[in-house]
Amino acid sequence: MKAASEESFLEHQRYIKLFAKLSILILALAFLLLPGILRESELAIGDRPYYHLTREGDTDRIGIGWNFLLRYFPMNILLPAIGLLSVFFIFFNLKMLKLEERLLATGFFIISPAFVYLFNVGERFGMAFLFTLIASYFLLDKKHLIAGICVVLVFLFDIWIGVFAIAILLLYLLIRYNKKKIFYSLLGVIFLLLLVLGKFNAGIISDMGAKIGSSVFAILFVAFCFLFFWDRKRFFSFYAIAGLLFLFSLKVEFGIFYFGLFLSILVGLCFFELLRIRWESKLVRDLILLIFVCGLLFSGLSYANRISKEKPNEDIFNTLSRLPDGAVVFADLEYGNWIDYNGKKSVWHSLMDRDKIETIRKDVSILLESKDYTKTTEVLERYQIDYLLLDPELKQRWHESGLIYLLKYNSEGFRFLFEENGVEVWRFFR
Amino acid sequence: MQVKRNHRILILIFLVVLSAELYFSLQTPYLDNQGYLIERYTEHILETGKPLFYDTLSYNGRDVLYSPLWHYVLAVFSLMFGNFVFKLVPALFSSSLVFVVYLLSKKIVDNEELALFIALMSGFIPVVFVDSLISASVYSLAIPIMFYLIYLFMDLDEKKIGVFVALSFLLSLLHPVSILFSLGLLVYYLLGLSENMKISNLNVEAMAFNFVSTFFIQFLIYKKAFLEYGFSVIWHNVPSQILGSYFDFDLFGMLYRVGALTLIFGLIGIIWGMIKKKDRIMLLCGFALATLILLWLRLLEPTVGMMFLSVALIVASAFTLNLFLNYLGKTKLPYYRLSFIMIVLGLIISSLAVPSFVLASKHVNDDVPSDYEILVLKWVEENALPDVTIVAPLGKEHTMTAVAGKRTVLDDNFLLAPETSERYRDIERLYSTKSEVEALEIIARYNIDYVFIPIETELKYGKVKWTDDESCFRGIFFGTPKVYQVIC
Repeated sequence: MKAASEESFLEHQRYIKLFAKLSILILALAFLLLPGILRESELAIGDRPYYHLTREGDTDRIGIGWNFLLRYFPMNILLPAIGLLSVFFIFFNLKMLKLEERLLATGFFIISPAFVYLFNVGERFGMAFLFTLIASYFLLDKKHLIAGICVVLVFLFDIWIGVFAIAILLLYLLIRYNKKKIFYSLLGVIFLLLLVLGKFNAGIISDMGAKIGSSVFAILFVAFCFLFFWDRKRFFSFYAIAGLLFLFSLKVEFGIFYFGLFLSILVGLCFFELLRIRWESKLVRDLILLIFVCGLLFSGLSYANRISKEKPNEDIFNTLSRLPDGAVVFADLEYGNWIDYNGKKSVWHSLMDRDKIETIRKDVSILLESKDYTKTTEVLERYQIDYLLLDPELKQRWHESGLIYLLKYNSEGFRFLFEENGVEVWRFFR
Repeated sequence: MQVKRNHRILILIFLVVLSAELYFSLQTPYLDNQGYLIERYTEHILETGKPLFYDTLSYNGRDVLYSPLWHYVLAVFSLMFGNFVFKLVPALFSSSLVFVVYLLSKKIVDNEELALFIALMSGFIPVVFVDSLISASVYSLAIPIMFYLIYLFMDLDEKKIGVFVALSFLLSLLHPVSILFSLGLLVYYLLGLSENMKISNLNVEAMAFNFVSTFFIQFLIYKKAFLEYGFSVIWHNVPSQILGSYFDFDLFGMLYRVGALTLIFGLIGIIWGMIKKKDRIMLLCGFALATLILLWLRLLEPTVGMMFLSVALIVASAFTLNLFLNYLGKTKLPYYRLSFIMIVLGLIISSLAVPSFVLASKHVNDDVPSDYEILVLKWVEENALPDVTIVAPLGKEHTMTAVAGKRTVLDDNFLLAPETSERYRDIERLYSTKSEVEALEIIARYNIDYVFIPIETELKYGKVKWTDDESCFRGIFFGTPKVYQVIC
């Protein structure tokens, strides 16, 4: 009888574990599909995916691996698939943790804005992220050759993520083979380089308006737990790595994905540690943890909702489709990839070389600031612009600009062509 | 029997304070500018059951962000009291502060008579007294709740933690000023650490809970503002021109509005308590410091900051007066006890009650619209087209939208409002310019149909001359205020 009850207890435990794993899978599916469900149109979110869609099959551009894949697979299938694979590999990578910690950390990452962005916005980062996870899995499994191949594959998707993966690989090998001096020296050099090179990007909290960021509640939670656990050896090293990744994400755009992942692991660990320690009031403990979970969920959901409302919309694409192919259309930077995708030529787009963007930005500032017709037409002619596209957001953004002034009051050089649901097109006669 | 007598006196104090507040607030049938905003939002709840989150009248229509709990409270009470609710309920809540202060003072000095005396003082803090008269102010509820939370925190145990948790939630839902409470606790914690004081684990847990819940609720309510402004949300999108004068410190003004006696006795109490490492005084000190820091950083409106600071100082002054009474007990002065009581009462009257009554009288006379203004606004309501825009200077805009029911260009509800600094600058220019061309440019920019010129504006900028052009501006009312219709 006793043996039977033990067996049933173990069986029960197995079911609970299976149920928990299935729940994580369902959660992942929900967050992979949610922005698409909330979105009113079928159009891909943001402007950068259109860069890859325009250049699908091209092998001499940014994210050649991603361009190549998009030639054979539709983006709306590819993204959830790599999202699910990433969830599996995160789970496999965390095998040094207890099952409940692994599940919770994976769950927290799924509901994080970083995950929502990675696998709902069709940028090249998602695939590169997956390959770094696969590389890390094989590295931990001591299959160095496969891990090396995966790291090489990362370069096909993003060169800088590839460099980052190699740096991490190197650091891992140094610590594994007990080369502590070199490890710390290299770490110090990386730290210094991070401080010195590039500009700090303060917008890394999605709840504070950052385009790609972390949940403010996750950051607050680990900061809150730091007060309790900073002196514990296990947590200290985790916090040190999180700190470095935080610094990294302030400098490098894709850093936020890795910081987001590590933050989720730390949140999972801290969550269980908070449950384990002694509390005077269980009510307070439960409420604090509940609030944090609700906060994390709130961040993820509100981010999913936010990106589902991101441009482009049908109106912009319908308007662009009415213009002749190959014509040069001018709009703001983030409209460039949409213009190119629709068979027209843009003046600039967000994945251009930075120096080139800065040069064009200077010329665009002349367009916006000057009410001098000669100066404006000089710039428009230099870029061989045929049409100007203005949607309600651009009209609001540029409402006091010289360009809008000239469009309103100068009928000599510009002609209003048509308007479709607030999106206007003006012709410029060169 | 003794307890009953003190309770009776306390109820009497409460009734005296309530009567005094109602005496002033009922001298006018109107509310002040802020009061009209609250009235309009409450009426919307009464009509639709839902809070107003898209205000078609403010800034020609825009999203508004606020916590609607206070408006719901008023809406519920208005079912019983009708329009009287905007004066009665704030007065009731505000007067209930005497109970909270009594409890706090008793905890600090363990002297019932002195606690009653402090409770009486708290009922007549000028800045608090005036706030609850005609503004339907949310602070009339927020202040008693916050100080009751402090009271609970002083002797927190397993039984009280539930109430503490519930009230923490309530305060956070009521108003963002709950952040001040969280910051006060944080400052207290840091002071405790620096002074090597023992803070119980339960208190630390309660602090952590309060911090987390306040942060979460504010994020939930003001999500849009956080997304829009990021960290700059702390400035509330207040126009730079106003923000510049947010901390124009006026010592005499502060002495008058907080009460000289409160300030002096309170400060002595806090300093003495800190020297003696008195845990409960440290807590009050934490709040006073948090308020001063927020005021210094211009994150808190001066009047609001002064309200919280003055109550904290009143409670701290219990400690000073207790020290003073103990000292007197050792001298020959107990023989002159009656004279001493008379002197202290005289001091209270001169430093608290007199300024309260003077300020209250001034407030109910100067800050409400005149009968003629209401007549003008009623005329506009009935005769102007429904979707017209009226321009009014800051300070009159909510009265305009509530009474005339028309759109305005600018109001002091700045969060999420479009281009507040530009609009503020343009409205100032509109009333001060001598150039009709400049005025017409501004009028066209904001689609203004009517120009409202109150006497205060004419006193500030002089006569608005461009309205003399009869081909462009048709005069409708020529008294105080003046109203012109734009016809060109």
